[in-house]
This record gives sequence, structure tokens and C-alpha cells, in this order.
Amino acid sequence: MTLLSLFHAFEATSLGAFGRKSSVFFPAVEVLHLLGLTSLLGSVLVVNLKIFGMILPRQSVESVASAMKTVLWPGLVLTVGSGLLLFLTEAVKCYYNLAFWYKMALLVCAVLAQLKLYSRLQSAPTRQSQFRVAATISLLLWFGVGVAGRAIAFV
Amino acid sequence: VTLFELCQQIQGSAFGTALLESQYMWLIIESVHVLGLSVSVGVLFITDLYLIGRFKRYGTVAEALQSLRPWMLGGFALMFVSGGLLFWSEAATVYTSPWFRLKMLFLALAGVNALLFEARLGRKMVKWTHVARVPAAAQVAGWISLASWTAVIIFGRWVAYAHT
Repeated sequence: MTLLSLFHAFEATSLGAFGRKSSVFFPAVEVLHLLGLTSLLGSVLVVNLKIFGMILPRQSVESVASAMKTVLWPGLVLTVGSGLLLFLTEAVKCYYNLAFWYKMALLVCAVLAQLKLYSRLQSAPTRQSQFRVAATISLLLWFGVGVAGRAIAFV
Repeated sequence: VTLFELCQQIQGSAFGTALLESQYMWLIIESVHVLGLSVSVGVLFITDLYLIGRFKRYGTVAEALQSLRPWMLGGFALMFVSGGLLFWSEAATVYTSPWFRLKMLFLALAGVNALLFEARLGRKMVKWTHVARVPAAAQVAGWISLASWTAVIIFGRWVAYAHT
């Protein structure tokens, strides 16, 4: 089975077919995608601004990070879940879309970087300066995911 | 001149037409609007969550609002500039859209809510050192903000779908 035939199978699912037939399915799911993204990017930005020492001077990095965790991961779940639904409606189009593959690669890197950042924050909380590079990389990766995501519609 | 005629003149202006016809510029501005939104409204959501007592273990309302305000305002400035440019190119098109009107209505509601909060509760914030001291009115303002910005995002997305 090739990857392309797998993508054809995704598109042929009843959920994918339903999404294509309904005129409100795609925009409605995209609203969920956008709301998830808002929670995700807002909380990532707050964690990373704290790592740069730019906000909430009286709180520790770990405490801000653990507060944002309750918004960041649900936001990611909502974004990925709604993204999967969008993908099912046009999987084959995505297969031929270069921006889609860039987005997926960047997404995997961004999630891994965020997980790594969180596990390092928990194991070595006292030395915060070393996290600035990681925070910059994390922001750039998430920004890249957003730009590539927008580009799917254009290319 | 009616409001609709004014919108027609705005959209028909040399700059409005150039913007609508320049494929790349319009797409770039729209992307700035959509991605900037998720950052500025995202940070705003965090401050609202502080306001409704969600993060009571992680600092006071005053601390969070004062610290995050410049980032929020910067993001909103970007939103208004990019949104204003998009409106310039489509003023008459969106004027007739009920979704655009709903978006503007909830945007106004969010703005009035924020202004009332600042005017009536802003200076008292520093006294809210514990979550029990945050007045109910402040929590209500937080919920109104969360709901109205969610509505702005929903109707904003629908504006784009309704006229394509």
C-alpha cells in the first residue's frame, strides 16, 4: 500500500465524505481549529516570554509553565483533532500540497521541542538562562507551523 | 452620503482596488491578521482566565493584567491595522454581510466591557491579593470577554466563507 492510496482511503471515509457534502462542516471545524490555535499560541507565548524574563516578574518559570500547561495541551488537542477532521475532507489535495508536508514536519518538531522544554524545566528549574535558546526555537517552530498552515490554502 | 455609499467609495478607492487585486499583498495581510489574532487573543484569554480565578495559585489578577497588557495591546494594534487594510479592500462587500455586522457587534461589546472594567475596577485591582477578594463584577467581565472574543473569531471566519 502506498502513501497515496492511504490518503485516498482517508478521503473515502464516511466522515470525509460527510465533510465534503456539508457546506458548513469545513468552516465550522476551522473555527474550532482557530480557537484551539488561539489557546495554544497564547499559552506558548506566555511561557516563552516568561523564560525571556519579560513578564510576571514575581512568578517562577516553573509556576508559569505549569499554569499554562492547562491551556497549552488542551489547545493542542483541539487544534490537532479539528485539523484531522479538516484533513479527512481533502487528504488527496494535502498529499500533493508541499505546504502541508512542511507544516507536518514543523508541527512534529514544535511538539517535540515543547515537550523537551517542559521536561527540562521540571528537571533543572534553577538555571533559567539556558532555556532562552530553546524558547526562541520553540517560538520560531510554532510560527513556522502557522505560516505553513496558511500557505496550504494558497499554493 | 449613506454608510453603504461611503463603503463603496472606500472599496473603490485606488488603494482599496490595488490591495484587492494584488494577490500576494492581500494574502500576506490576511495571514498577519489570522496568525496575529491567535497570539493577541490567546494572551487575552490567559488574562481572562486569571480574572475568573482559574490561575489563582499562580499570581494575582493585577500582576497578570499589568504584565501582559503591553503584549495584548501590541497584538491588538496589529489586528486593527491589518483588519483595517482588509476592510479597505472589501468595505462594500462586507457591509452587506450579516456575519460582519455580528462580528463588529461583539467587537464593540468586548471593547465596552474592557473600558468599563478599566474605569470602574482598574484602580481597585491591586487590593485583590487573594482570589476571595476579586469582586463578582470582575469575574463577570472576564466571562464576557472570553465569550465575546470567541464570538468575534467565529463570525470573523464566517465573513470569509459567506461571500466566496
